[in-house]
Amino acid sequence: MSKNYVVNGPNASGTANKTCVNVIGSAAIRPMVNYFAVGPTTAPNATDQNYEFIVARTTAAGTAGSSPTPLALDPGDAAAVATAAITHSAEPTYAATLLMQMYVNQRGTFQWYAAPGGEFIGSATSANGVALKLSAVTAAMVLDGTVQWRE
Amino acid sequence: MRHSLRKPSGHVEISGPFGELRRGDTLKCTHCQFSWIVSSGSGKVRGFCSNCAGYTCGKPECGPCVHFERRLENLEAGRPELTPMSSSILVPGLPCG
Repeated sequence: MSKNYVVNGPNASGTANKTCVNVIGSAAIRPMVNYFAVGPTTAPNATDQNYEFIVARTTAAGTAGSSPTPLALDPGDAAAVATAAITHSAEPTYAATLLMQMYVNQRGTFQWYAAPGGEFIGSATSANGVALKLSAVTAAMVLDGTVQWRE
Repeated sequence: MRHSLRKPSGHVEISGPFGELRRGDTLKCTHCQFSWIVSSGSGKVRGFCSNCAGYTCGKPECGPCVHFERRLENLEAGRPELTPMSSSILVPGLPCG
């Protein structure tokens, strides 16, 4: 039976291409992202603005600010095979094909959950993963992302 | 929750600046897994792959049929991502007797 894990993390403050969370698979498993949510943690900018975020596969892990231990939703489950990285100082390498791209008001939050079979699947390759990042915003902000996956 | 599709691949909930909550269904490209919120009348041109029996996002690279499972296998094998499946050739049997 598959096991579910979750990781939460902010991006480093900035205006473009700042990764919140990267779920990094391995040659043994394909991480299947079935839920994510994003929302700003910084106070809204005086001038109203939208932020753009994307979800995409990554082919190199980059440099993480920290690597939190994925939390098993069932406390009885073993530790995750996939690892997680947040708040990157050097961005992961993103694949050209995006999995989702959205624009949200700076005061808004966004969450997506997959129907069974609708998960975003990362390849079973070392250092490859599925990541969520702030793609563009006018005034610098910190976006917080939560990503849940099964493996 | 009311759905706009019979078989969505996912659902979204978006809160707006005034606290309003919008819900919607998403569809997923059967070739690249790109997901979008279904919005009838948006003018976006999507597609349908009759081989995979699934929607496609409309991007040119998703026109030829390379199912996302095949793309993942290509990445894992170190092949170019859009390498198609090798064709199946049916060879009719020789008549008996």
